[in-house]
Amino acid sequence: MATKAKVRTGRRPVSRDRADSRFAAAALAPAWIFLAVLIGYPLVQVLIDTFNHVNLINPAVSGFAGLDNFREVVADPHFGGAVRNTVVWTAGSVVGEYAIGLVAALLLNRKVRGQAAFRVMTFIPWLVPIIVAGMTWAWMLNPDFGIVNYLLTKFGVIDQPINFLGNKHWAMPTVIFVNVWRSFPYYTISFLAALQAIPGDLYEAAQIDGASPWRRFISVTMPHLRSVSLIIVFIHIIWTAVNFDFIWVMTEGGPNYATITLPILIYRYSMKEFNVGQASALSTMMLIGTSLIFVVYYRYRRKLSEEIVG
Amino acid sequence: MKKHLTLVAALAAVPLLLAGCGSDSKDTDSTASAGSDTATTADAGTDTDAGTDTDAGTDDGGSTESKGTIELWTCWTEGADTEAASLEQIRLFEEATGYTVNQQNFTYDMLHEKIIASAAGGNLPDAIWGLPEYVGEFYKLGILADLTAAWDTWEDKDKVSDAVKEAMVIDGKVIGFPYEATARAYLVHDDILAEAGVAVPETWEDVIAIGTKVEDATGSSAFGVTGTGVREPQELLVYLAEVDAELATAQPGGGYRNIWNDDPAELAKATKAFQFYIDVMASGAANPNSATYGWEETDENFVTGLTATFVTGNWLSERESTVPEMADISVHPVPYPEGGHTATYIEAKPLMVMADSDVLEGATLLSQAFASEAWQSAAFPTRSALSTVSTDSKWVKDFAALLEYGVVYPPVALGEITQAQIDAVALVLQEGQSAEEAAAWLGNAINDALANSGDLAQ
Repeated sequence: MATKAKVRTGRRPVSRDRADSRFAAAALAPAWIFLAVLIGYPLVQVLIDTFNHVNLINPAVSGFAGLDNFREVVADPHFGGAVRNTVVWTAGSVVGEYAIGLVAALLLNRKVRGQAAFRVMTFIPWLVPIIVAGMTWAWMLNPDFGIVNYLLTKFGVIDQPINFLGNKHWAMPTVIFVNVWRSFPYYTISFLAALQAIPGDLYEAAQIDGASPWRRFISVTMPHLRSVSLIIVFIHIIWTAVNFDFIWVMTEGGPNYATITLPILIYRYSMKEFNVGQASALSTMMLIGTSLIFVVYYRYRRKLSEEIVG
Repeated sequence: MKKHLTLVAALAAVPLLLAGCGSDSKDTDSTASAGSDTATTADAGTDTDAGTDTDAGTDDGGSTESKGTIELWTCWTEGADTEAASLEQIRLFEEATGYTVNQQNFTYDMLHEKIIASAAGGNLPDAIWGLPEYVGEFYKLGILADLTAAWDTWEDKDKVSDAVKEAMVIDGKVIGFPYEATARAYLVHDDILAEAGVAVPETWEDVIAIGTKVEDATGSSAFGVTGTGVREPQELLVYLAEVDAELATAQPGGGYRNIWNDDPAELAKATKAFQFYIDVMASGAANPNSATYGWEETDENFVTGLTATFVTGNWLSERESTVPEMADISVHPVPYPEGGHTATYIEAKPLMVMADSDVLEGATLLSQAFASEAWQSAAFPTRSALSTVSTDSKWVKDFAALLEYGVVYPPVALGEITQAQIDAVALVLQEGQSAEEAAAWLGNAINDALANSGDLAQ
């Protein structure tokens, strides 16, 4: 018959389970307090402000707003464009990063001379701070004195310099390109780690069975990258969708709102118009959107885990 | 016993960890030692933003007592003369007054955002630099101390021009001491215009008449336009002032209102300013890319001679020694329309004191000291608000001569209004709308912004 072990304390015996629970609670307390103070409190405050009229500089704007803040956000003439730009920015960045990151990982996984040097060089963009990368590219892409336009015109690729960040048709593809340039090494690192974990026997067996390189890539390599792909793609969808600094540094949402995304719209509500209620409403809408993305990720993750475990 | 110790240790760690992530607490102890301030500085130094932190105090390990610590936020160019001279002046101030100054440096944009956030969180510094555009907002936030009494007893107050003092006053109260004041002038590369055989234009019509002559002859654009960023609203303000159009007009019963859409004559004035943007672009005098350029690109293009003439400030003098192309620059009044008059934007920057400062007296003294003749002569010899601080350089006397034509922003919250100005110029330069459409749109947008901030006349 099992009996609960007793732990003697100064005053009365306490069961081991209870002592373990107390210790666990004590050990977790700092983390819970941090979460409550640094995430919970601001989150609750945002939710409260979402349903109230809050203006930092106009005390006359106050009181319960109901859904007014949501209505005003949706009625904002820049809202539709910001949603569309956020989707394009996120999808373009993630697809580009995935494709280039995968290609770079496959190349770096081959045994070639100077492999270590190539790997280090590939990772350099990721080491550059966003603000430095953004400002440097902005100067390089300048139509009057930027090196990119100089080289493109010098070698006859284009007749006239292109105002990459100042032309509303070029601005979004350009900021996506620069974001891909900076972020693809993260994918490369992740894919490289996964590629190196694939047993060489599988490739040998496939080769013996007459599989072409393309067939080996599709049937051996890609299945082993599914798990890491799922994680980094979903993480980057959320990271890119909520990213503020990259576009802000390069275009500030311009020219004339051509690259404005939802985070930049939130910034404008709060820091230009001081309309905290509206900023909170849009933040809540983004929170719901990213939470849905996380739910989708969780379901895929569980399904994939079940498949792998069998 | 072991488990109890672990529990106690874990619980004890909580307040320590929380203290570690807390914000700097202001030193309210009037007898706080310089040594205690060192801890504050070290903490601030771990801030993850790009601000830098310098304790210019005479900290000698706690041997001297401080009357209190003044948290000062500045926006000087790091490594420039102003920084070195100001740090020395801060040291002298500390010696003379017994206060310790804990100074941190930011860009103006960063400072603006941090003040808004700090005001919401109730954790403000004691004294701050700022742009005139911030005054209305900060005043509405209720964070600015009334420095009227300190101004009245300030020995250098008579050396400040009326226009600069006007920029320090809101609702009849002085809210800052001017630590820097500059005007805008029309700067011209004389050699480039001479090579093109073009005289220095005096009017908008002269500028438009140049067309592509300068570019054809020299490869440089004749005239610089700022299409976006913080500089663009200032530029538009000047052109509007030259046709006597006001962004927001003070109303008899209090408050402000844009009256362009109420009065066709006023709308016609504003339309004229927008038409200048359209015409100067259409004439070929301005670089079409500048429709989306901010101050970074436009200043760079002018300094290097890619633009022959440009309305800008005397801060460019700092680059004269390293850029040989600047040797031929001359200073002129800003071109104006026929029938109008020249104007310039006076950027008089106030050193503001926070109303809830625990060291209000010390912060006010520091603010006064910054604007004093000794400090201005040492740190701002080319950009001083004091008439007695000057040099023979064109960057000082030729700019100072334009101060009488100066205009400033109305004392209202400007964040939304300046954004609307940028959007309005984009309507004509990027979206192809007419000057009248842009002017009418801006008039309505300004009134919407005034309503949102509570500045609109009832």
